[in-house]
Formats: sequence, structure tokens, C-alpha cells
Amino acid sequence: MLADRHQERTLIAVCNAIVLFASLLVPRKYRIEWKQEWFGEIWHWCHFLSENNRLNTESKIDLVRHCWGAFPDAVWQRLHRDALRLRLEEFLGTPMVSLCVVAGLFVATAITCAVCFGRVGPTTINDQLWIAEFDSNVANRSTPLVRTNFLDWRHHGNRASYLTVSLSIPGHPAKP
Amino acid sequence: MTHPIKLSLTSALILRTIGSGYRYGFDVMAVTGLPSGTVYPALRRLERDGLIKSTWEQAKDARAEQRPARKNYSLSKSGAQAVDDAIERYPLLDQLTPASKD
Repeated sequence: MLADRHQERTLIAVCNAIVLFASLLVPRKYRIEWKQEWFGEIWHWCHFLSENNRLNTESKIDLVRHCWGAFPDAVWQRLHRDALRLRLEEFLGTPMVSLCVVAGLFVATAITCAVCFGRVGPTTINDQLWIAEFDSNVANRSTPLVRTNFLDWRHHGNRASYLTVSLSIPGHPAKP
Repeated sequence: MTHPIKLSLTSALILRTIGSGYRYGFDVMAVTGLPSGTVYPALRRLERDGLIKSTWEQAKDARAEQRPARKNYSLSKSGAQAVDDAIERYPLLDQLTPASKD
């Protein structure tokens, strides 16, 4: 019984040494938890073998062989655990992405304003302007049918399907 | 509609084993016969992908019994769904999996 206990302790010490060596590959912030998991597993496995009188040469070799699996596990921790997050951080940290984010926010704000308020800002047209509406029911659309004050027309919530602009030059008033 | 998660046969087998109640890494190794160098990285990957959850047993319970605390794994909801999808994909998986431990 005492010999078994001694064998169990020796086996645990050997396995823990392997895990301890492998843990050097694990990133520092995960190392303690990683070691605790392996140490816990090794202890329970050894204890199980000892309690069931299965602590023979074959089972010992088997356990030590399993402990070498700590190395691939540690390598995985080193190479893959943070790989996705690090790549994302690296990508988001570039100046081009930062500029794109700012430009995207600007465009999104502009679109939101345009959608919510119908226009980005108030019109600067305050003078009385005359516009000509074409009646869509009339076949001959080239003839202006109604001559309307633009401000009144807009006040009634009308929207133009298309717009033409005429310039008025001082001294040469535009003819309606 | 969610797309089924594509698992390798090894990952599916590990997932199925955990679903059968084998909650520790060494248990999974003993039942599946897979080496620890395969099982542990697979467990990490499955946990990262949200298919399994890990919890530590209460440290005071372990201390009271003079043994180290153990980390155990259980299936998440998406993990259970992934097992069902994997069984459809690998029909042999149903026969390879041991009887439930619980």
C-alpha cells in the first residue's frame, strides 16, 4: 500500500514535470489555469489507477505518454487561442481602416439627416421665384400650364420630379 | 435559419462523448482512444466555438477532499445541435459512441 502511494507520487511528479516544461509554451496569462487543469487531470488519473490496483508498468507508460500531449495543447494555446483576436486588432489598428470608419460614420449621419428631415439643411431661397408646372395629364408637355410662386408651391409639400434652373442676370430679368 | 456546423469526425466524436456525460479530458481520451495531443486542442477549439462550456469545480470541495480541483466540460445548446447534425452527417458516430455515463 505504502509502495503504491510512493509510486503514485513519483508518477505524478514525473507527469507534472513534463506539463511544467510544456507550460513554457503557453502564453503567460493562460498559463496558471492551463497548468491547473493538467495537474488536476494527472492527479485524478493516477489516483484512479492506484485505487483500482491498476498502477502497473503499462498504465504508467500510458499516462506518461498522454502527458506528452501537453505539448501540442500548449502549442495550440500559443498559436491559435488569440490568433483571431490579434488579427482583428491588427486590422482595426491600421490608419486606412480608421479613416474608413470615420468616413462611414459621416456618410451614415448624412443619410440619416436626409431621410429624417427630408433635406440636409433649410433652403437658402427666400426671394419670390416663379416656376412653371407641367400638367402630366396633358399630352403636349412642352407648354407650361401653371405659373406658380415657388415658396407657395413648396409650402404645400410638393416635390419636383425634375428641375430646371434659369439664371437671372442683373439688368436682364428672366422672363417667366 | 442557422447553418449546421461542419465538424470533423474527431471533433464530433469528442462532442458526442461529452454529451454522453464524460466531462473530463482524460475520460474523453479513455473512452475514445484518442491521444491527449488531439483531445485537448479539440476541447479548446470546441470551447472557443461555443459548442462546449467549461467550469471549474468548487475549490473548497476539492480542498476538503485533499485533491486538486478539476475542470469539466459540458455541451452548450449549440453543441447539442451540432451533435445532432454530426450524427446525420456521420451515421456511424451513433454506434461509435459509448453508453451515457450519467
